Amino acid sequence: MFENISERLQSAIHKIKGYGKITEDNISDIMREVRLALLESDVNYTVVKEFTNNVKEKALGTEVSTSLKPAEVFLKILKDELTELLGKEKVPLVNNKFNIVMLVGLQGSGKTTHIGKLGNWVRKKYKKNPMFIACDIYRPAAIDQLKQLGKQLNIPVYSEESKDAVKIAENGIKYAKDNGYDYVFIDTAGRLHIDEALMDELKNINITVNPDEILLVIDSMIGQDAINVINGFNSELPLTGTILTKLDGDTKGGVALSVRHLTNIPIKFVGTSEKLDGIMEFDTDRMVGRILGEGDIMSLIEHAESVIDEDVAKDAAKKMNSGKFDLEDFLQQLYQIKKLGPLENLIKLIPGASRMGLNNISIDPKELAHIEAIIQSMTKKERKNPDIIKASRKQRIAKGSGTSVQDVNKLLERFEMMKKMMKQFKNGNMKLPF
Amino acid sequence: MGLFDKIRNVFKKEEKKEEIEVQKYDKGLEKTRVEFTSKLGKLSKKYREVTDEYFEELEEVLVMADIGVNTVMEFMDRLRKRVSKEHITDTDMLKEVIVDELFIIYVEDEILTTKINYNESGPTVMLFVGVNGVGKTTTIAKMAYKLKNEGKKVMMVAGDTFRAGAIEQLDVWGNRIGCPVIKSESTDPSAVMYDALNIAKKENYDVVLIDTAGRLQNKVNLMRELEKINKVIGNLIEGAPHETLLVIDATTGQNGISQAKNFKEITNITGIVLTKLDGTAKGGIVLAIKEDVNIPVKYVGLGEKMEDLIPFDIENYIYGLFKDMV
Repeated sequence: MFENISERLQSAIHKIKGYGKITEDNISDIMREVRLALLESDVNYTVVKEFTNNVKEKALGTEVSTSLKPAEVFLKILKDELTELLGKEKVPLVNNKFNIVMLVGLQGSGKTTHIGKLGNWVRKKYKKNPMFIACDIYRPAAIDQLKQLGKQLNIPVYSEESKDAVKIAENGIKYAKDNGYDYVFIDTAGRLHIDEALMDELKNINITVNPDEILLVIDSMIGQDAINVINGFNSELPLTGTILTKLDGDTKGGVALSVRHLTNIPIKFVGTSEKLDGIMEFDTDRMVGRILGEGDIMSLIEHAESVIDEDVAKDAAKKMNSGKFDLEDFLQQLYQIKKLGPLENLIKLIPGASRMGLNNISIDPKELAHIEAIIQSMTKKERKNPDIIKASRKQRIAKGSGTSVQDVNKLLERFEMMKKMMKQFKNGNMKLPF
Repeated sequence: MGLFDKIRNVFKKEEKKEEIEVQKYDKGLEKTRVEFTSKLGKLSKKYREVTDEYFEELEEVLVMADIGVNTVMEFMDRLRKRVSKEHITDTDMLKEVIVDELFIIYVEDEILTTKINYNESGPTVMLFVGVNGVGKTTTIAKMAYKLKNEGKKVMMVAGDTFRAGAIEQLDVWGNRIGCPVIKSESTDPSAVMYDALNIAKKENYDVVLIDTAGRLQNKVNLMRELEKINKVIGNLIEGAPHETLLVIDATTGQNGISQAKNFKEITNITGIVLTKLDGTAKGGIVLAIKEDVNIPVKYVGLGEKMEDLIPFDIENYIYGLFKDMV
């Protein structure tokens, strides 16, 4: 997501670098680029207007009062304004003795999947004992879907045959209290914000069980209609936050910039994969960094921490730092990396990835399998000292791994490149996340 | 013959079926229309004459309809040129030009049809693809209902072996419609395609509707899986899939273009089903998709009921958006 904004902004900033100072003339060119980039990212039209006006005004206003270079000034203004749009303070998910959280939203936004993810999340982070209530009595098999997720997570699901969602919610809460569950999530049917009958149902659930939080689930691919949807739900229900789903797609997710600013409702979580651990707390600084193409190394580290074997990682880091990293270590790293999930997602988090041209890279999982096969077809000695791999060895390895000599060459070249990059990381005082 | 005459003629046709569909468009697009046309109407009241401010606000209206930023910018350029060339000063007159130009973006000089491409020599296979949560399964059920009512022998295939509850969802629809659902214990979607298509051939089914798991278009391995599914289908029945429909949610913004491009690369997309058009979303991205990727819309979803899937008609669509102005 956001590649487009960050690319365009970076080219805009690059342009400024060429100017001695920011003037009315040169800034309007840049602002036009920024404006188009934001609109192409589905940022709300009104927000775009306001944003570009503010940035322009500030850029012109600060010009004289600072000794900083224009590009730096511009970047700082962009950062401040983006932070402003996304909201500064973090509002964590409720954590009382007993908690009720209801998820609402349009059809297909990802409510049921995110109930599963949140249940898993509160159990891990809050050490709570979660339970789900299935109030989507309309969509065929919606209850089955929640039950299957509950089964996978070993979280109980309260459901009834009844056609009264309000009653089900009420009974479900009672059941949770009687059975020692202290974090209850209510799944509701997807509905259009203009469907009065169904909106009334939500209002009635709200009045009856009085949830601590009502979270609006929004598909991050949504376009300009977002504002109608958000306002539609917000005017009928006391929303406490939003969840932006499907952010692992290539959507620019401009709705993130609009939602907080237009409604003052905080973004609490983002959905980042189809798996049940694919959820992250929303973090403004990280998101701003990501928009501006500065990467999000914190997310990368956090994610790595949760899946990587620390001892193996430490061992590898030592070797990398000492320059003794060989293909055997590389293979071990591959096994670890596989646990991290799609590599495209990780690369985007690397600081400066878009400037290095890495942001649009797509990695085929099969390629990893090839690399694995090639290394596995090498002898221990070859893995330790790849320099000895010459023509005949290459042919043998290619045969053994079912690949071609070119593939073997490619791997060896890449390995050399990687070693060089490690040196750069080391010299740049940059710690590798694994 | 001007566009508005064309539109009027559409409604003068005596065919009852068309009338019902037009009414549905009207009903489904009612909210959309109120939102959109009142804006355009207000605009020409506010600005009697065509000015820069008028253009700026018009641009806002079009961008807010999700029509696609590039498409809108080019459209505005064309409109400005036409205005100066034809010396149009009255905003009331411009309304007609705007509708006309929108129509041209979509149609160009092509002959567009929403007819299903039937297989003459065996079962017709229709594959439904798209990102997560757009309404693939519901659309298949509606399509099955429609084709069954037309007297076809229809089968649905539960090819979404990933999402929890997806197979059960299709099963419930199958029971409601009275249409068999082929499913398999295997988590490999190609396996169930294999079973289903063999049954379809043996038992002389007319149409096979295949559900697939939702997949984001940037996930290489999931797109590879789709490629494989496509191949398996083609190997079992010649020329299949005869229709590959990309399901797009009307609330989708600029990402719709990326969806269309990426799915088209992997499969032979023959048309779009635009779902959830009964909300406030305008689904304008289909104009940009037609312009950029050249995929026409074949069907639209205008509600949650089984009969709420109807063939797309660009004239009805634009008429629905602008009805109050004619």
